Amino acid sequence: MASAPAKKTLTLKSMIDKKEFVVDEHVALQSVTIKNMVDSECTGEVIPVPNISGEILALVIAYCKIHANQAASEDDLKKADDGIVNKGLNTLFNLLSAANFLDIKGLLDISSQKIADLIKDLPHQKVREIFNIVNDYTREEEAAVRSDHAWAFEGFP
Amino acid sequence: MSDSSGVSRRSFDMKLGYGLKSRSHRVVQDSSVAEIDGLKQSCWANMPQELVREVLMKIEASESSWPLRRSVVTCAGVCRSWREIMKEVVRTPEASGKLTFPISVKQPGPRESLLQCFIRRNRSTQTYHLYLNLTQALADDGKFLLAARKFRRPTCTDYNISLHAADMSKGSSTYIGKLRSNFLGTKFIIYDGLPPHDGAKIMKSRSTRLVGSKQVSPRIPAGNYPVAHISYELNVLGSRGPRRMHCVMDAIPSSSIEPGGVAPTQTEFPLSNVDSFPSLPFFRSKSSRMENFLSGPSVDQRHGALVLKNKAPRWHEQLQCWCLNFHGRVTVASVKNFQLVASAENGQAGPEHEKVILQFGKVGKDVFTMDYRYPLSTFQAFAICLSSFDTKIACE
Repeated sequence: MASAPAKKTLTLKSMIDKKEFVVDEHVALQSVTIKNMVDSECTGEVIPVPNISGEILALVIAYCKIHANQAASEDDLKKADDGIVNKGLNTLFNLLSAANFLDIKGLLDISSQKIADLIKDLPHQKVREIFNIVNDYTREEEAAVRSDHAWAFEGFP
Repeated sequence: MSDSSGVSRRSFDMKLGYGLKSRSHRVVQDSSVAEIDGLKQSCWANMPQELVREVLMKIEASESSWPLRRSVVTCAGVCRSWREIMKEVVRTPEASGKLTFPISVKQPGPRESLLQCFIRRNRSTQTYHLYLNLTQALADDGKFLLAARKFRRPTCTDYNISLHAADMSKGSSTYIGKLRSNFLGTKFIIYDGLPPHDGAKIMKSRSTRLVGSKQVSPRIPAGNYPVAHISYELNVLGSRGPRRMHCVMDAIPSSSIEPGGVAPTQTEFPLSNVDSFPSLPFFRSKSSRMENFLSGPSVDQRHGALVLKNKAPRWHEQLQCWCLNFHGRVTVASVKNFQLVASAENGQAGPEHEKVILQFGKVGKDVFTMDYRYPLSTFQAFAICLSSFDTKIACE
């Protein structure tokens, strides 16, 4: 009796801290970047993943595993997604960057949405601090920004 | 959960990157924000634009109604690149049906539906405040849009229109235009503080100029462009019948309401010189919408301009009154109530001449609804409605 063929696996290796993760191929192929690499056969068993740490890669893989599961319900997916993005802003930034590099649209969406939710009620000075942004408006532009802001907040407590 | 570097959690006391003055911070209670590690922060000093864009798009999409929509404006106030991205992400009221930045009130409304607003009149201060409806209620808390104040003069009356309720002076940088009526209150001109289109006649500052039959005061700030002429007449029944309104929208071509037509769209307020009087308007050409704006149809004076007329009410024999179907948005009978439609000037009326473009009417003692759509902007619609307050024609 023939045994079922072993599921093909891939090893993803973080080039930052050298951590390796073995994942089923169909899970990893949710990354369009990895899919392109595998399709064009320019990689071996171990796929080097630059600029992404082991911790972030683990999160990415957790996301891919859940979304590769055909049997998962909408609720399951939502709960799992909430767990994945329930992190500090630093982790979220790294996750967003990883999702962008690996081209995983769903993960890009939930990471960017979570960051959006965290910053949207903050005053713009606070946003500048978080993103380390220099206020580069001229005096005239600053006046226009303040005028826009005053109008947007007019009448609301 | 500690952060990835293994560094223990710190209080929100960041080491700032180059170029920033150090500031004091309070410890932030929100745990997700408190996890920022100052040393790692520098790698996010230059978050790639495409990722900033993803985040800003999410904010714009999820904060679609007021008051939450102010987050979009806040993010556009962070820095130049964020402002550019947000201005690209946000679509015009014509495309999205949403008002976002102050310039939205100068842009044509949505094509397919009426934007519902209401006006509160304050008789003691002679002011009118325009709000965007936030709910289905006729008048709710509303999002403030524009304010107008009446200034009576010996030979005319001016309604100065401004972006801020508190600041109604002509020289203010929030002044965006006005409505001027003649002495009798039968003829009105809407003036825009910005040029409506390429080739607009500019009124010189600090010099007198004749507009129609009236002399313009030299104190009017640089930049007053006539964009519409409104007149009121008695109808054939005299004061017993509804009055006739005739609006020539000089800045909007009649072709705008035809299939494929466009109306001029302003895209930015000019930057005023913060140290002195507002300078002559100019535009920073940023988005591709500018091409549409500057190269859009320019309207020869009185030729090809869109003309709006009020829809004739029907006489209701049983109720013994003139009736218009306001679809529930007007609840108190008043001679001021009206619906404007495009007039088929050359006699060829089509379906585009059936659409109500502006509707105005009383719902309470000092409360009126105003519903408008493309090709009018909030500003133009508001100014036209103000004329209805002022005119004495056929008032009981």
